[in-house]
Amino acid sequence: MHALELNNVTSGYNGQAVLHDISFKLKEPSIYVVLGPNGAGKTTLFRTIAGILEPFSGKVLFDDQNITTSDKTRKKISYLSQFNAMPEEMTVYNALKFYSDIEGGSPDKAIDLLDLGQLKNKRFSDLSQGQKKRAAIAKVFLCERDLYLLDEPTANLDPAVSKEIRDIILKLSKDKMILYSSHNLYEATDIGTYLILIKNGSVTLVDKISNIKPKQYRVGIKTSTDISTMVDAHREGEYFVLNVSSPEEAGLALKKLVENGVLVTEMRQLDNPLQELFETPNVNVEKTQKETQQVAK
Amino acid sequence: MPSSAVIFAKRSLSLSKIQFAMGIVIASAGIVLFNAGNHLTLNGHALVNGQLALLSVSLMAEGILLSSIPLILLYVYDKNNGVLEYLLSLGWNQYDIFKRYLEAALFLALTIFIYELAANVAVNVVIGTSVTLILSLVVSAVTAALGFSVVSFVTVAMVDFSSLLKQRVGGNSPLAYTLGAPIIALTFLLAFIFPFFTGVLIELLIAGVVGALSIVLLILSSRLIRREKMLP
Repeated sequence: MHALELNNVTSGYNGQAVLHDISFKLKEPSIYVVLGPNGAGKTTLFRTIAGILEPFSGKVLFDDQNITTSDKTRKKISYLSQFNAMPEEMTVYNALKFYSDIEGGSPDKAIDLLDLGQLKNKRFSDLSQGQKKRAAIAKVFLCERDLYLLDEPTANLDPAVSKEIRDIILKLSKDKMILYSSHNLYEATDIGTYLILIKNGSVTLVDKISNIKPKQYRVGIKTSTDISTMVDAHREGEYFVLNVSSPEEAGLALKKLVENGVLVTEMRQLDNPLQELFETPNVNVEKTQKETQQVAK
Repeated sequence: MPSSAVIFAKRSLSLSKIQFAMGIVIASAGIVLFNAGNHLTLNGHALVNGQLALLSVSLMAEGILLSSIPLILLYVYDKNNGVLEYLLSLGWNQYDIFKRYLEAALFLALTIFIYELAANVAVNVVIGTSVTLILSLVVSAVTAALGFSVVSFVTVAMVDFSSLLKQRVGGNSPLAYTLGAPIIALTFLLAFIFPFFTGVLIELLIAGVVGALSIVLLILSSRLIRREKMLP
């Protein structure tokens, strides 16, 4: 069983701290979505865990080894940055070979995994954005690692390619630890098991996504009947919108509508459950830092 | 030469060949100037032999310097598209990365130097005398000392001095070249001021100082180069 632990890590650039005194411990193979607005410090967090940036203070431990001092431990970690980081003048195969000569592993295996067979002899610079991203992702799978740090791997990709990539990552997460950054709430709930919320350089929450309950649910009900007289709902576009405090309350409202002979064609939660967290300026940090120690066991 | 140096050198030429081609052109001009000087005579005496030899050293060293510029461009390119960041994530440190680019720059410089040496020797063996062959070897040796020391300095400066820039800018290659080109320019003046052997000694002295400076900067590189300066 692998473990990633950050102990009071402060890190940044040119002496300016971007991450402030971050601590958390992750213990199980899973997908941990690192969520935060632009500029929150997600990339800096990844660069620090990957050993690219040395923390100003504190320690990053993987399997109890300090990644700053242990080269062996660094080799257990793979990092995909937001940049393609591929020699663009090379063919896809040669670019992967360039890296496999440095870190080991098999370009053919990575090409198969990302289904790049038809692209392998094309110059990287001639590929479309989506193809480039897939080829760039392939390089992190040249060698088998224990911890994958994926910084917005589906940014700027079309939905089909994004789904393909998420499926690969989901498959991988069965026995690997994956930190996956995003500022897309729907992607976060779709792929993640755990959430690491980061704001202004501080981790404000680490928890299972399934544990995160909003204070209020906005439920959309699609029907041809005017239901505003039966339940406390108002019309917003094609939906009647009902504000409730729990899913059970929404269930009771549905029951009432059905009993009144209303034909409901669709009922769905309109807001993402993470929306509230994302918009709240400060979650209780002290509390969540303590919770962090309990999480992911 | 390590295979990684050859790979990085090839990559740099894939990005830009023009500087390397210009390096060959200028080196060829140096070769022509040197050999013409050794074969043109006036009243039985070689025509301004020493001055032309000194000028040819400067031209051939400039050719060597120009040939290494694609490598500097590659460094900037790799920094901007995240390759250096990825190499850092693989466990390389600043020194490891820098060493690969330095080796590749010296490999490109070596390629031009071998061309210069072979051309000079060939011309002298075919149409010259034993005296001009010795002179040819002396000129080649001074060219090598000057050329390789300046290429090393420019490559070290490319990395080290980018760390001194307040703002991260992609174009630190002109900065490096700006530091290297005046050294070669200085040697052009020597031809008009000093006789041949004095000029040669001064050029060797310049090469020694520049080489020593490069070594000092190389040793200090892990302190001077901050990792964040390698990030896109």
